[in-house]
Amino acid sequence: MVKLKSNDDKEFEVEEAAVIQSEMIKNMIEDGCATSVIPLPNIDSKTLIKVIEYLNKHINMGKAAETGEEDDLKEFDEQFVNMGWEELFDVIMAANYLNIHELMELCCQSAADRLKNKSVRAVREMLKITNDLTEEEEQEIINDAPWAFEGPEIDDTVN
Amino acid sequence: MDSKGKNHCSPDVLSNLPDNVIDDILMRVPFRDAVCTSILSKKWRYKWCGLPQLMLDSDFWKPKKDIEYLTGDKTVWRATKDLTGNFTACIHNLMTRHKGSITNFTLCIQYWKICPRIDNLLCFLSEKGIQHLVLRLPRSFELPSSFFTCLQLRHLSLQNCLLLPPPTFKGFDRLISLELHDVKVSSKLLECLISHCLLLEQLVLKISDTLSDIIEINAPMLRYFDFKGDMTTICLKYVPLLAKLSLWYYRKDRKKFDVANFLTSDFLESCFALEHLHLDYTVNARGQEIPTKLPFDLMCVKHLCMCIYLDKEEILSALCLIRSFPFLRYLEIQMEYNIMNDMLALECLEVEAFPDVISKHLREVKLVEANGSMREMQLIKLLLAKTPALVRMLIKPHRYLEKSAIVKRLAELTKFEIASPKAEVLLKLV
Repeated sequence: MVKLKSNDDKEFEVEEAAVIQSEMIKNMIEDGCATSVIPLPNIDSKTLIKVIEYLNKHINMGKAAETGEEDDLKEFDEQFVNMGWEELFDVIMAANYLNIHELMELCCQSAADRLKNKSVRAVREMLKITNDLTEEEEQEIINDAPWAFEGPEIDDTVN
Repeated sequence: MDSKGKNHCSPDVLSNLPDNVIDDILMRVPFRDAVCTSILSKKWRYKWCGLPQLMLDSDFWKPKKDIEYLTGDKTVWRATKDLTGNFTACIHNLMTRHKGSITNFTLCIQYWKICPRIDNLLCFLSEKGIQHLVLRLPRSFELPSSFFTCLQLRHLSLQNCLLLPPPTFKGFDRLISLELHDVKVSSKLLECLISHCLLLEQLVLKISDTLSDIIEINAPMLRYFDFKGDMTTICLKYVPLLAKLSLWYYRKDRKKFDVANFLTSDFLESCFALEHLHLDYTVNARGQEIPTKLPFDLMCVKHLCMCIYLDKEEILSALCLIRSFPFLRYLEIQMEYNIMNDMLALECLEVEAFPDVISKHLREVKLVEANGSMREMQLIKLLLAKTPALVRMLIKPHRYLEKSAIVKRLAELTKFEIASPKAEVLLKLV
């Protein structure tokens, strides 16, 4: 068992087989630096709980491929990324920090899927981006690549 | 844009993310969406220009109304008008604005009527040091000579094109993975292409035009090979590391597969490192003599997956393979439901006809798309009685068949003799 501590001082015990999916912690264990609690100053307990949920489910990835349980895992992954933008980015930040490759891929793909084919207005609203371009600059950008900004199938809904 | 009273204090949610993460997300969106981010704000204006990985997928950067679904003789998607104008503008933007290297590039325009000129694009990518290239192009499009200058390639995937290299072309010697789907290529070139990639680990060949000559596959590092086509046109000459092999018999002229010949040949003999075998063929040649074993054993095969229609020859060929893999641990059988075949019980499948154990080490059996037909029950009965190490048999009934009827038929299972004391039989209703 490995103990992890979130930045709001909550401790979690995770099986070593699960936690070594994080390259960072794997290296710490190999270097003998994981004997006591590992503090994670960038991750709050809410996010850490999500990450541990993922690690525990993916503990036997190799075995799942052998026994044909990939379907279950796929279903879990789909459910897992069903979260709001801010929560998703918290998990991405945690996965990036802990260096959990598969989780990073899953979450970035989910973010990309949400942005696909969206209108500029919808993307700004979803990501809370404040437009600081002048009208002239905007026009210049559109004139530079008109093909990118036309087409009737742009989706204006926010998700 | 003003934020109209919505969370005034909350900043751009992406602004905390490191650049590598933003790039990682942007590389997964289609090219048009990536270019569109240039208008989000000042910070975003030139972000897409540095992305090393780009994806041009026809579905996302032109209106869908220009592509229609044709039914009738050919069930294919086709573009209804020339879309090359937009394409040219888009490539122009890419070539004039992009900074830095491009390692991964994907172009999917296989539904277009006309293929736009891509020679400049390929020249550009070659100069940018392209390593991972995916081209899905309209039918019979001849790749320009600039394609053959992309010598940094490590991953190449081509669909629907014609390969005619210049005489000086020696092959892509850095390739780790090669995928050819319906690519028109001569047997000689294909053989040469493969044997020049000494690092090749992954090979996918899906060829519907039957090759004129048998090609020999010499690939010292090959670990994964997925083949769709006529197995008699390939020869696995030297594949010492091949661990995963998938064979799907297919011929345009629908010539039947000679399974007896396949099982008595030395096709698999050089695959001594093989661990996973996936086979899909329809036999449909009644009365062939099916051998009980291959002429050799493959000791490393742990995982066998087959699609069968429950013809007698198919069941016997499956049993032949199981017996030839003495350390088989996992067996998956995908039942192809064939209403014409339901089907008298087969005398040769009766448990009494099998004095010996079929597989000593088989631990798991998975039957997919089961329908509870008489032959299927025979096969289940046989497997339960003759696999003493079985731990689990998982049965997944057919999606479209009525669950209760199948359950009723499968209830008979409880009366079957089970050789392994540890075995459990699970029915998975989804």
